[in-house]
Amino acid sequence: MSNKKLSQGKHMKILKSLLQIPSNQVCADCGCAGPTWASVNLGLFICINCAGVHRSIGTHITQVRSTTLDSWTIKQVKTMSEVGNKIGNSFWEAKLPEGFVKPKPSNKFAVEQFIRDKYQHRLYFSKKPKPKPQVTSTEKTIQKQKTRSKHVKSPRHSRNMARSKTRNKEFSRDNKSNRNRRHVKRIKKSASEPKLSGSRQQQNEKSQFGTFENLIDINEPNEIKTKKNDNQLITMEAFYSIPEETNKSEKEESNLVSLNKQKTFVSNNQRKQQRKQQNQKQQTQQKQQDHKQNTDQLIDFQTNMNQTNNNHNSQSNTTQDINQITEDLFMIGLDQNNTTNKQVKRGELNKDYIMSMFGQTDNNSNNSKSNNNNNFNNFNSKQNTTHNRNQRNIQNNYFQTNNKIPDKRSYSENSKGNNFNRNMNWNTNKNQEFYSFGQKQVNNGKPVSKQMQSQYQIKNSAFAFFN
Amino acid sequence: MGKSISKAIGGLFSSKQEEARIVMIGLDSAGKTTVLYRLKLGEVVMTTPTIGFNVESVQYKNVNLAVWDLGGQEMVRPLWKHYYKHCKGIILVIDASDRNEQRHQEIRDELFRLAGEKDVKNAPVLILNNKKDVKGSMSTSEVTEALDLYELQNEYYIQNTCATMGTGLFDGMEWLVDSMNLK
Repeated sequence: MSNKKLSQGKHMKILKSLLQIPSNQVCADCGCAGPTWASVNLGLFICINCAGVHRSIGTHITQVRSTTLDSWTIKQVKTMSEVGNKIGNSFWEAKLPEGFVKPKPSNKFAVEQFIRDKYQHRLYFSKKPKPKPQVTSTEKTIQKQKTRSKHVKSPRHSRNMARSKTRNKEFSRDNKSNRNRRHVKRIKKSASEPKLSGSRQQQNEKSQFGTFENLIDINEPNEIKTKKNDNQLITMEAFYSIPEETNKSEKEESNLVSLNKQKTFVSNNQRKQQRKQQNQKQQTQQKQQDHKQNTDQLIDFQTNMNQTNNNHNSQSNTTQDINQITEDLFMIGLDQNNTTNKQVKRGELNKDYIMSMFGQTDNNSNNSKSNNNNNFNNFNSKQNTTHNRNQRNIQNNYFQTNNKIPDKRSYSENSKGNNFNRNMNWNTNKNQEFYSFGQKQVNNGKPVSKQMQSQYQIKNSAFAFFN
Repeated sequence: MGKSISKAIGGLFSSKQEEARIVMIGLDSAGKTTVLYRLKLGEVVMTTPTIGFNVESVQYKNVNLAVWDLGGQEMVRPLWKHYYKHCKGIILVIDASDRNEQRHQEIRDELFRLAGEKDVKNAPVLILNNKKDVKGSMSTSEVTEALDLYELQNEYYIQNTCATMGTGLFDGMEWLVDSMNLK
């Protein structure tokens, strides 16, 4: 479903809008202007030279795509919209020592070394992002929600909280998820990383059977925790998967990377000090705030929430719209998957519908959902005309002949004993999209001329051995 | 008189030197450019994504091979068919570490579209199972199943390679040169 490819025009619009965000106008690694390539699973926009280095590292760490020359899936576009250079680098360059100067793009070897350190050896990576005003404000609210009870000093609240604590204790004995939460809290206090990796492993094991997390591949960001209240704010820690190698404690890592021993140790000490300072600051700030917010905490929460939402919106209005659009695309994909041959034709109609939707969302970006109903009406009225046109176009296309291929394949798979779990529906969709794309490229959307028909027939004969 | 002698001598030498045109295709970031420059220079070259193509002449066993390394991005793939004319052999490079079924489907479609072309009908296909040094990479039997190679009518041969180390490349080239129909 989410693996379904977007045809060329659709992802271009989204990615163009993403590339207009100021942080994405600069390469995430070397800092040169105008990146046109992207690391799909890390969600970073990079330049072509850095793309070369990324590819040499291997697809198990980064997967590189061009924003202009490749086709994208919905999932990939979604990760790009959710991460971007700013948020991504706040994780990957969190441990950068102070006064560190990034290598200039002209010095290729230094750039390669830096990229390898950054992604392959993970020297500058941390699960907590570098403190920045936008990210920290959202995190504070999340922390507050969890640890409301601790900082309350008013008598009324303290009584209530005391009761709730006792309840929680009783509850937590039965419930394992609560235990985990507690565990995470402890770890946040102590900030000892090997413990955290252990707890993270447990969570990973649980989330393997989750719902939304499974949409994303092993190599791509594993856990995306969304909160409906926060309009799908993501806890960014969870965005990057932790492979087995990095589950080892940092000492082991530093043994492996013997050259960079000193760097890591120095940076570790610095980081601990920084964390202590930050924690103290946060605590003092929160105490001050809590004194003010003695009674009307809930109301303040709401306002805080609104603020964070506004922050999130100010980062990019487009990202939320894209989320909405992609959700709509998911819905359409569902419709397609349930259909059979008759409605494969309908898939093309749906494309028109999607295109019209995209056109409108650019103008009225905020009201994309409310426009859906109107669009749907238009779509119904268009149905008759577009249906005929598509029938004509399809007649001498590869697509009709290829309809038989997936059937045949599935038959042969059954005979083999189901070594592959290929989706038939997916095959049809894929073929349909690919060939319709090819047709568009040749004819610019016009109906097929006779010469072209003859060409297609020749090529159809090439596919005869499939049947 | 002198001309005829020189012709005869030239003919003798030219019969030893043979030329062949080879096209190297594959998905993006499969390692085509590194394979090419490994064959040509014997080194690992820092590469950037190929937009367009690279051509190098490679000498192997008295055969002068003009190897065309074509870009693998999805927008560039429809252009592959324009390079197939007078092409004696084909090298298909696969990323063995990439186990994504969607990608297998893409390369399978490209391979069978290639096999349908008139110019390449009888050309042998050398399949380089590249990046074999990565853990958990595909074996040759897995490749045959993933690409449905038993349906391919062309002569083919799968060779495990690692372009950065240079292992297996010349074994594959040997097979390709032997199985090509050189006039």
